[in-house]
Amino acid sequence: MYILAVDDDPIILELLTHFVGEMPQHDIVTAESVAAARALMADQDRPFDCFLLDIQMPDTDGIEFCQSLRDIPSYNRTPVLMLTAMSDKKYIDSAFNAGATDYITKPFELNSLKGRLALVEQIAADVQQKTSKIFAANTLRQKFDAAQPDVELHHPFPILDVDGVIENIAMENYVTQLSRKSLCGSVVLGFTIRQVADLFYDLSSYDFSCMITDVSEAVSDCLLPTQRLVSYAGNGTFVCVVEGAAQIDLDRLVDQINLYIRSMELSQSDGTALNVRICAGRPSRLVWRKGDGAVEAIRQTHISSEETAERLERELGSIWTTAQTA
Amino acid sequence: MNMSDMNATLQPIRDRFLGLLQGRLEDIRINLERALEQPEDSAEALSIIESILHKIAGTAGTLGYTEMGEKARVVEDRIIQDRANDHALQHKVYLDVIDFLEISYEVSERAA
Repeated sequence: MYILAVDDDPIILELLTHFVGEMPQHDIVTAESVAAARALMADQDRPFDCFLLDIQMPDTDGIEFCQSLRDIPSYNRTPVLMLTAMSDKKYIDSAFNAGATDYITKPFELNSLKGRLALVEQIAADVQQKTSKIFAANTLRQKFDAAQPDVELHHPFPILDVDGVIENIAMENYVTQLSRKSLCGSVVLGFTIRQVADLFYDLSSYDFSCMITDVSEAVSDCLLPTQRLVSYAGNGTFVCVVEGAAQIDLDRLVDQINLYIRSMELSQSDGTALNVRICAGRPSRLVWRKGDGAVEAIRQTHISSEETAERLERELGSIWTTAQTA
Repeated sequence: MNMSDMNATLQPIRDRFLGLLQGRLEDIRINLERALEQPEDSAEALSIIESILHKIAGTAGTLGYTEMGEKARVVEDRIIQDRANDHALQHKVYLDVIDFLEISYEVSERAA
């Protein structure tokens, strides 16, 4: 990967140059400020595949820079690793909310840096492949198609430009970073779109991805004003990490989200109205779950949410059967 | 690359860190004196000390100066707590900064 590291501490930049020099598959250039990084980006013919950003810097900080990178189409999915000594939850929340992919805590070791870079290499490769496809396309229509996410029912795909919605891999990295103490007041919620398989087969990839994006916006907005991060986990399921939700009235929340979705008047590209409803699984509290335990809690909530969707459809089916028998 | 190779290749960066450390410790000392002598400037002086400690905490551990890095982190956190508590912990913070300076001067002298 071609990496741009931005940190106002020259020692960190020297360490990064030294460590990345030990990894023949990567090249690194460095900048001591966001202004210098922007100048470098403007001068480069070759786009960067990954960014390593310090948070605390004079003038523009790393979080603000990360947010501005996400507004540049060619960098809206490029891995951004926050490399910082700020371990406070509010910084971690802000970094992921701004679009960070991962978080490395200083002081760091060579092996930890290697591991984190290896984790984001696949994302960088996907981004590069997509960019090449867009460049290779001859017509505007082909370019438009190439820019769409690769949509498969059971796989997550990135949702861009929705406040509070982050990539699925970033969500796992987020809960892995938080300390036990920080996770104490957090809950994982899962929401699944009912009859999502039918919607997937009836809709074009473009319409399906728009529908998922709209529902993610409804979920994210309805969870406000609590601190929340939402990610799309595939199969019509969204997992959300919500802070301070000690007493959630889940039925009421589901009603609110469904009303919000209804008010959006979702439709296909040809104007046909869509009937989209979500349901919720069993929430998981993150008390004393850290690292893999927190990731497992996300997985369990995902499963529970999809099971609820299946059960509701089964029950709906049995109501009709009972009615016919009677 | 084994540990001793790694240590050897990090030596130039370590030397540069130690070179910068002299100036950083001097800045901490000057700002500590300023905070003690001019209490009206103490918040600003502590904020400057905090940002220097933040830099030291971020690299000292990686370069093998674990104790100095950890102490820098503890004192940085203490300054943040002090600010959150309307400077109620200021006396303790000053003592911590002095401890940090002693540890760091020792490391610096040993390395020289």
